[in-house]
Order: sequence, then C-alpha cells, then structure tokens
Amino acid sequence: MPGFEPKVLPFPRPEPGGLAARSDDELMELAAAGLREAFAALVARHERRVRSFCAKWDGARSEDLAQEAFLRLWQARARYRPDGQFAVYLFTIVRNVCRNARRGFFRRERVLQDAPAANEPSHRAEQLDALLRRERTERVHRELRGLSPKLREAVLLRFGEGLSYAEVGAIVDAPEATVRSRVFLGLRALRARLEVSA
Amino acid sequence: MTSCPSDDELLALREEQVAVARARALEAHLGECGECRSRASRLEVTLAAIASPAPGVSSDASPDTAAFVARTMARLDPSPTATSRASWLPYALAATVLAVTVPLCVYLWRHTGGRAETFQARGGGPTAESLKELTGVELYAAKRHGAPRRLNAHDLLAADEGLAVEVSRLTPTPLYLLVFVVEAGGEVHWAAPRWDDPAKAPLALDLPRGRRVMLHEVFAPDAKPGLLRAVSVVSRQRRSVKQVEALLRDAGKAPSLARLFPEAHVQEWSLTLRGAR
Repeated sequence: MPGFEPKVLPFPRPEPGGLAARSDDELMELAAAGLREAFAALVARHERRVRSFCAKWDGARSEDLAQEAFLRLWQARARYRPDGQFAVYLFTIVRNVCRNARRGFFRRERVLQDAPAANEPSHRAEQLDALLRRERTERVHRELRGLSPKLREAVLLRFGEGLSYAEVGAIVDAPEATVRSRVFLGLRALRARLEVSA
Repeated sequence: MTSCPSDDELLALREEQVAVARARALEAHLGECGECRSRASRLEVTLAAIASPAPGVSSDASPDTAAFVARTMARLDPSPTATSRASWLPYALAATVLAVTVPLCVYLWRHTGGRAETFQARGGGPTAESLKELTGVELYAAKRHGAPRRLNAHDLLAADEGLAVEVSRLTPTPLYLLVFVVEAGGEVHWAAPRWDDPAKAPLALDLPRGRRVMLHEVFAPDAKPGLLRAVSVVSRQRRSVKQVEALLRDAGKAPSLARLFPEAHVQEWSLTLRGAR
C-alpha cells in the first residue's frame, strides 16, 4: 500500500472482567446479537428481584411467573433500546406476565418452600425475633395479594422494587400523579386489611 | 403543637411530597407526639416488609440462582416434550446412513489424494500451521482520543469507536493481510486494505515485519448496528478484495473460512456494533 507507514503504539492491557462486569444494557445488546451466555448473566443478576416480585404477586406460582417473564424478555430482546432503563423494561414485562397470569396458564404449579431450619439463627431469642419478622412479612405479602392489581403493582414497584414514581409510571403506562395516587390508596387499603387481619 | 397528621400525610412526608414549611411542622410534631412516632414507625415496618424478599427467595446469590438460571435457559428453546412411537425411525435411518457413508468417505479420501496433512511446501515459505506461530492479528476498538481497547470475542463496538489492527510478523517471508467485517445480513466492509473506490480492486496489505505493530489507519465500519463477524486473513498469496468477495459469494451461505483460505492463518471475532446514541 503506497505511503504505508506502520506506527508502533503502546500495547494496552485487555479489559478485565467478563460478562458479569457488563452493564444491563450491554448484556441485552449481546443477547440481542444471539449470545445466550449474556442472557444467562442477566437472568442470574435479576432473578431474585423478579422471583421476589412474582412471589409477592402470587406466592404459589412465582417460579413459573418469573421464568415466563424471562422467556418474554428473551423474545423481546431485539426491541430493547439501551437507554439505561433496563429495570423499567424488565418490570414492564414482569408486571404484564403477572397481571395476565391465569390459573392453569403455566405448565405447572409450584409451592415455594420456606428456607431450611438450618439457616435460622441458633439463639432462641433471635429465632423468635426472626420468626416474628417472617410472620409479619408473610402477613404483609398475603394482604398485598388481596389488593386490586392496579394498587398492588403500584405499591410493589414503588416500595418492593424501589423504583421512582416516573419509572413506575412508565411501566404501568400511567401518569406519575396517577401512580402516586395509586400508591397512597394501595397503602391505605393495605393498612386497613392488616388491621382487620390482626 | 400542630394537629396529628393523617397516615397519608405521614407517607407524603416520607416520600418528600409535602411543602418544606409543612414538612418542618410535621417533623416538629413527630418530635413531640409519641402516638404519631409510633404510627410512623409502623409505616416503616410495613414498607420494610413490602421490600423484604418473599419467603423462599434468597436475598443473595445462592445455588438456587444457578438452578433457576439453568431451568430458564433450558426453556428458551424447548425440546419436544411428546415423542410419538415412530419418532425413532428417522434417527435410526440417519444412523444407518452415517454408518455406511462415513467409512466410505474415509476410504475415498484416503485413496483419492486427500492427504493435506502430509503436504510439504518446497521453498514456498511457511505453511498454514506455521503461520499461526509466526504471525498474529489483534483487533482494537479505538476512539479519537484515549488508548485503544483490545477486542475479545463477543465484545461490543461503540458507535463512536473504530477498528484498529495490530499485527505481528516474525518471519522474513513476505506475507499479506486482509481484514474485513461481515454484517449479519452478509454485507462485507473492508478494513485492510481500505476499499474506497469501487472501480479499483486493492490488494492485500504487505504485512509489516515486527512484533505488535499497530497499523496507523483506524477503520470505522459503516455497518448496521448488530452482530458483526470480523475476519483477518494472513496469507502468502496476495489476493485482491474482489477476489475475496468472489470467494465469499461463491462459497454459499455459511462459508468455512478454513476451506476458503486453506494456506492462510485466519482469525475471527464475533462483535456487536452498537447503534447511534
């Protein structure tokens, strides 16, 4: 090639870290390009959040709901626009899966087991405290499931997932003010249910 | 002391949705009213319970996570669940055909000159096998400013990054370099040599001698965002870009690069080009 003058540059080190070091946006782009390992890394990163949300929505079918949500995410991966809003994209799918779930829709029913007793604190007082906390948490989750879907999703996305009102609005396709109103109404209804059940 | 706030107002205070003056008044009230402090505390307990992981879902990564990931990934491409009674028949037929054809192919290959592994180049320079030892190509993502970043398999190439090529040639034998990227749709873009004038057919670059020599040109692929297959070919043959494109075109849908360039050292990178931001 005429005028070809190679130039020696400092040799840079390769970037450390594998897929686990990638951002959600990058993993989604790699998944969209067909890299299944990237999608597996995304699932591993978010499964606890998604399963927890699904368990609070419908304790008996949380695993199937969560799996279904990830399958839909895989199917929708090419439509994702990497704009740093992965949580909104993910929970839009999770919320739709939960809302559209009907009994018998999924392959199988599953009942989540409680954590094994070996994981409980050994001290008796701590055990009692842990039991009380768990009982209280379960009662809140049970009463949450009694709320209407609109109120339940607003409360769960805001306080369960820690999303902002704007993000929740993007997920449920409602104005921010409406979301605030639903969150307030939802918590009021939840308090009422907790008082009755107590 | 102001009157006791409602539960909604306590929540509004927590969510920073009350005016500053009212918030100060409410905080002052909470400092004095034990009943309201207790209600605020109950609200916090309820919100903490909502945020708590559901029973059965660990709050940290656990073996359960790996199992869930495995189950989910297995469902991405579900295998057939129901197998009909006669479904073994095609597999049995395929196995029979393979059992007959594989020994036949091996026999024919051995008796019709298929002895590529015993070929000895006489005075022709390094063979494909030794080219791997004597040459090397690395790709880098390069921006206008800053150090280039070495690209590994499945790396992302940002919209504002170009491809830089680093080469090594540890033999005095003249060798030639081609680098191109292929879009998922099959369109080929040339990095080395550059091909700006369609009327011309530039030849492969003369590979500079030395270790880790960075070519001074950075190539910004004018490709669609998505999957890119970058290929480098180091060969003793000096092909033109048109010859290579013709080879690729004639090779069909999924060309085997090792077959297209049997004497060359071929390297591949599967990359993803990001869209414009």
